[in-house]
Amino acid sequence: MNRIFVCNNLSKKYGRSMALRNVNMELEENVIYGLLGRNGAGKTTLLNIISGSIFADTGEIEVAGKLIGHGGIPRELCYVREKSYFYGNARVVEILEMASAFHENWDWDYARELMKTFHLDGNKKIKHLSRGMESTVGNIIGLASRAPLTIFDEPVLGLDVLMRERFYQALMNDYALYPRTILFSTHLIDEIATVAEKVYIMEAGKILLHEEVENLQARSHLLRGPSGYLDAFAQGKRVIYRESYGSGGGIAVLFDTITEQEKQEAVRSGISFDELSLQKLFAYLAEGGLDSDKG
Amino acid sequence: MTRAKMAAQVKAHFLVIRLFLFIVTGIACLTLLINGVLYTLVDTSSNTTVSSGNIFCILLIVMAIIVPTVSFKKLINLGATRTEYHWGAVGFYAIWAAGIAAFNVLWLGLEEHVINDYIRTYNILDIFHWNDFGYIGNLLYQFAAYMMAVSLFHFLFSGVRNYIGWIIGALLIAAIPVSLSIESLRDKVADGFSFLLFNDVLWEGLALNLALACLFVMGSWLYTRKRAL
Repeated sequence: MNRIFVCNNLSKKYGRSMALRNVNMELEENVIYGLLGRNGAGKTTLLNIISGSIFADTGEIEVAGKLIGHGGIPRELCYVREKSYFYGNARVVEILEMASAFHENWDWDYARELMKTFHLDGNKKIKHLSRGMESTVGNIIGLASRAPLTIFDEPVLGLDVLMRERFYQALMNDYALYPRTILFSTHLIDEIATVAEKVYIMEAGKILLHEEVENLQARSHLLRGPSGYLDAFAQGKRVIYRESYGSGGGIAVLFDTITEQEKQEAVRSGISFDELSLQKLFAYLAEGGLDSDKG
Repeated sequence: MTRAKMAAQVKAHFLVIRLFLFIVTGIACLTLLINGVLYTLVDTSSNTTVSSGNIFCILLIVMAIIVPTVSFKKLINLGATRTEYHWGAVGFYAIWAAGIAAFNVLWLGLEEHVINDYIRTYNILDIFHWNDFGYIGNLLYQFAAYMMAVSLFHFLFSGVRNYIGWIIGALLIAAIPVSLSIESLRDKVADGFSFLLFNDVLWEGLALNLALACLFVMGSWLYTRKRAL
């Protein structure tokens, strides 16, 4: 598969603290990615560097095969920021008109359709919009721009459940018709689990994990059972979280491949397997990381 | 840059200066109104006031401060590149500089034939003798001088987030009192300003103003290309 975006050894320092540490990332064409990480993990810094908003101290960025020079903003990119800097006294439709001039694949019919879907009054001034509606304006720009590489930073911030659902639905419908690379950065991990095909997990300025969502879910296991059996079963496997209870029982979170035979044996020893959501897996990963392997 | 991109930027910049346009128009109208009222109540024929048309030149300085400080971040957020923003801003200034120059030529005509019968006014077109070059010459000289001034302010305010920008700004501010306090420098500075704004030769005045404008535009690009959001 062709790559729309590649970055190598991106590092960024703010004063004495390292916001990014030699980050390498590759985004394939026509794939939806999730970028997950705790607050301060470096997600927004990475996205700001990708979009040319700020500059990396080291490293290089390539978009659609072209090296992006210092101060360059990739033409193929549409970046919907978490904090929008719209003109407060502009009407919604004026903001969309201005944005349309800078995105060559802009689809006006689709933009109008989205305004209807999200009940957005085009004549309303930006300064009179709620936080959720302001996010929606950004999301409409992101969707209607149909940029080959679209980045959303916390796109559903301030949106209620219904509007979030509508956003994901609109995105998936349009993605089916016009495939492109989309990168989401969000805290609502389980919501993007149904949308994203691959995820990057960041922690302390580094890429902790890069995996297909399907594999991630297939390799994540929450085990409950007697501590002794749990430890024996986890031997040689990647344990990302382990907790023992006073009663002699405990839980273990494994990130590894478990065969059906291994599973049956474990069940016979009194170990039960629970489903682990992406959100939970992320929480355990962020807590223990992949360095805490005990196997 | 395409016409659509330029139009989008003109609209975007206009949104941030619109309030100031209303304020400046209000000041100009109020000045005219107060002078008119005073003329009818008391004899003000010996008083001289600033031309209402010239007041609009303030708007050029205001926009050169607001565009780099407010509009840069907003336009990049909408998808403009730094290059598009930079040349869009220069284009926006050029449109307004030309518009205000044309307005001042028309206003001078109005002043000479109507307003000055009642109120005496100072007009920069007379003060700098730009009017001596005829309509076209007057327009061109004004345009060049306005572009020079606007580019200077755009340059200074594009560098507010850059330590070099602060140093250059401080040096320019310090240069004024220093040059005025040293006699030998004072004459040279006066000669320089005279050559720049009171030049008797149209092409010399135009060339110097436009050369300085180009220099400031290039300088502001050096800031813009390294400017973070």
